Amino acid sequence: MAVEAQEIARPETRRRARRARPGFVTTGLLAPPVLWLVIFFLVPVVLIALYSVNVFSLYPGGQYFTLDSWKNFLDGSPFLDLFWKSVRMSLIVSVAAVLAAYPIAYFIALVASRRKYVLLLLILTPFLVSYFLRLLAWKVILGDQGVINTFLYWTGIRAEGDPVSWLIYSQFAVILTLVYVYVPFVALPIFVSLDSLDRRLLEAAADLGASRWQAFRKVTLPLSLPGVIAAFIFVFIPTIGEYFTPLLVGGVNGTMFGNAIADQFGQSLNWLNGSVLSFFLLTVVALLLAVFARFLTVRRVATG
Amino acid sequence: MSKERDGSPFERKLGRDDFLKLSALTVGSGVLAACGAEGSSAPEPGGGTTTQAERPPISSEPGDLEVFEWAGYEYPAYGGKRGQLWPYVDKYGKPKFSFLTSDDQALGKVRAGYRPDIVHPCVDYTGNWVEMEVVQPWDPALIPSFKELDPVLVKGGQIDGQQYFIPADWGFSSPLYRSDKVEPNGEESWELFYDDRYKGKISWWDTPLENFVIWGYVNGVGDPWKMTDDELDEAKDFLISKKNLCRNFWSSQTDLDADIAAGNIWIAYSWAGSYVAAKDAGLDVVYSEPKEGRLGWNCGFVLMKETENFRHAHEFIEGWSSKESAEWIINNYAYGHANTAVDLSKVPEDYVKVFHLDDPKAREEPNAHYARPVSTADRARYASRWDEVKAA
Amino acid sequence: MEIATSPNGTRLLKVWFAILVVFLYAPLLLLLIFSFNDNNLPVFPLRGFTTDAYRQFVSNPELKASIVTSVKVAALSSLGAIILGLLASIVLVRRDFFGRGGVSALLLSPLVVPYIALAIGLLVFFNEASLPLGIKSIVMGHIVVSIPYAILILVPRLERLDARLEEAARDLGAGALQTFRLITFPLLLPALVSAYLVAFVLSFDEIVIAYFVNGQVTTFPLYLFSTLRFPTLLPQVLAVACVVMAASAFILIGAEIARRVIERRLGTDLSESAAEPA
Repeated sequence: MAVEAQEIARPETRRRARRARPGFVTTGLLAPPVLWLVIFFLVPVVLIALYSVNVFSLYPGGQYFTLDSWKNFLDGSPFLDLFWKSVRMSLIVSVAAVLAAYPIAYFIALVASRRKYVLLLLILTPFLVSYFLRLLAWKVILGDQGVINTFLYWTGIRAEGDPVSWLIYSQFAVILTLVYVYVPFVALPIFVSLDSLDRRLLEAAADLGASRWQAFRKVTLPLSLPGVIAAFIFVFIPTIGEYFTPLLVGGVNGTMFGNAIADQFGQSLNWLNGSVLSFFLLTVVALLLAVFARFLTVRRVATG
Repeated sequence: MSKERDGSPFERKLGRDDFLKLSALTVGSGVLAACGAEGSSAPEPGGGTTTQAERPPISSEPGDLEVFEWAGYEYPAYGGKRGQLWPYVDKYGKPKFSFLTSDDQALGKVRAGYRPDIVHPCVDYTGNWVEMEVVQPWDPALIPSFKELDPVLVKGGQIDGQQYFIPADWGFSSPLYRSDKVEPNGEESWELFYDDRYKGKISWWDTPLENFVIWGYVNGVGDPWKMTDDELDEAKDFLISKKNLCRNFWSSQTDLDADIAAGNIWIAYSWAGSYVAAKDAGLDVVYSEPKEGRLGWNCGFVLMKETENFRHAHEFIEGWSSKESAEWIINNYAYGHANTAVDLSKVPEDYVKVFHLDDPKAREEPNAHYARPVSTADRARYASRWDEVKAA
Repeated sequence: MEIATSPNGTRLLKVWFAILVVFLYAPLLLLLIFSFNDNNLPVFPLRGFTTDAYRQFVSNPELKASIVTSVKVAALSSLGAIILGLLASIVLVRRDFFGRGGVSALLLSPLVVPYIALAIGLLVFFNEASLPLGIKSIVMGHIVVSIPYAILILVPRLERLDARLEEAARDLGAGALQTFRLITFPLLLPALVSAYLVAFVLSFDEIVIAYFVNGQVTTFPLYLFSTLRFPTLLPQVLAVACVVMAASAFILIGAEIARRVIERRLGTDLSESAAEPA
């Protein structure tokens, strides 16, 4: 049965679904989104790419092709270390968020089926409150005289005036608040993939004597993997370039690559550097995405 | 709710007497300073790219004035009935506003092609605006209240003898500290920012310029606003060695005020507003008078080169610069205002001491160091080193 | 028999769900408390109860206008994003064509670009193309960044969707549009709703692109950030946040009641029949 479920997604099926005049229909369907992105995404991004080699500049002064900024950046600039630090932090955040969200999505999709949309909305609603304000609330929770430390004083675990100071303005604070922000977001794609799971597969697995755990491992988990990977991408990629969270709760050592980019475009007024940093991020993340995509395909070939 | 401050959200906080007193006083000091330097340095009228005579009359302008402004200065701000802009609005109607969140972002947005008529940057960025070739000098002759503006601040807004910047709001910057937790070594000094005893309780302002400028004044370099590369490198190494004393580098006053009130921060670079907020939170704080001198900030207006509303822009600035508007700004925002003709009868004594308002020299060099235009090249030299401090 | 979990498993999942809800809502509860506290700053100890923030918010036209703007921008951009995302997803899942890899890379690439770089590029582009700045330009930018999210939600669902259902419909004489309307669309609805919600919240809270291409309009996040350099307005935006929360809760409860009423009337389980049409 698992094999049949896999087959649905296999290219053969896709090809069979193709009808007459495929070129025309495909083009017609693809044109709007592709054109939209070419005009409102590719063109602006190419402008910034040109900026990174000084071919295009909005500042009075010489415009000539140079890779100097790229060389300076790749040649041991402090930003490079910052980048790898950001990648590490993002990985921790992504794994934690996916692990926390999977049971939630599972619960909503497969157990709480009668109320699933209400429950889904319940976890998504906090999103409607501005990110900034939610972070502000976390600062109240994590501060030296915040909710947690006050509790520790009250229970006597910590003496008054001796707070757990790494709760805020630290990498920990950044990771915690990012997980907080992304968990509901991550639950969505996992929910969608679990929700579309054919329950008859699980029934069949049970009929064939599989335990629930076996059914989960052999049927549910593999089938929800596309959603899990989408979820992982949902968190991992934007958090590498994260800006506001480190700015607000990161302190002096919790800054991330996104802060460096924003600073180059902002207070440093160095758009050349800013575009170099942006394109470095873009390139590395695009490579990572390609690896994910490959992983997906390989898995399909292996199990399909 | 009193009728005069109808609808103002500041009733709860800024409406408090403290704030009024403080702001009235900050302006008071401006007047005193002005007395000392009466009529010093207004540039020649008609200093703009086009002289007055060539300008078409105001009636032939489109009049769709667009102001790139800090939120809260729009009209009517925060539901208030009359803002500081009423002299202009009564005559010409409400201008359009877009909001800037920081000087550098405003510069970036204009650099990318945004073209309002007037922008409200701070004086140290004036050089960048001029170098970007997007602004033109004002014609002070078209602004009757110009002669009432603080000459020290007016002079700060001149580049190559041209009035590119009309000063409006201003204030001090100085170390603020919790006097119940912090005991400075001897005389008050900016060196409090580098005091190992308060590791994890210090907050510097996240800005490329001022942290080096402070180091410059502490170490007595020739010109802290234009340090040599060697001096900057030395400062950079020093700041990197001290950066872990900081809990954070603050970037919004709201965050800083909350951190001070919540006990996360004991020592910070701050504006007078943070002092008032901390007092209001019932904390024992000192707005210190460092022996190296306080810093000062001053924001105001630049005029875009491509504006089709040249005369409207000047009318708008006349509205802003008038003493009636100044009073409104002071009463509602607790800022200093460049107009020195404001009525000072409500000056409370307890703040006189804190802000040295009985001393007209308190805001002049070498007692205080007001921000000044910095060239793009110089800013870049400071900024690249601040990048290194932050990334280190 | 419940096949997805054992009774113990269900209990564990319920506990975990409850913990997560507490984790998600505890900070919001604090915001609610501080919105009624007589202090501009969100710090303990509390000072006293006041509804000033709410009264001020109600009489603050700029703040209200910014919320209306944000709702418009979010509603339009999420609609645009799911339409464009749906078209792209159908092609990506159902059709094989030359350059498929390149196209999907393009469609997902807005995910990997720092917003600030895109925002500056967009502003330069809008100026060069003489396109006016305003709600429309923010919507255009938000659609760009929302498309990949829509695709990432729609594609897994489409992949799971049995293509033979569509084929059967076509064999029975249904046209392409009819097949979409009667078969594909209803089956996709949950994913479309999810994608819409994600795109909506993404846009509602987005500030970097909005900052650069807004022209003279002010969205709620822009208002928030531009005013929050001073704490005076904080209670008002907290009040707004609480009103938004209350409205969402209202809608949530309303939806649940409506579902029960309809179910009772029809005697069926709507969510089940929608999710398990086979």
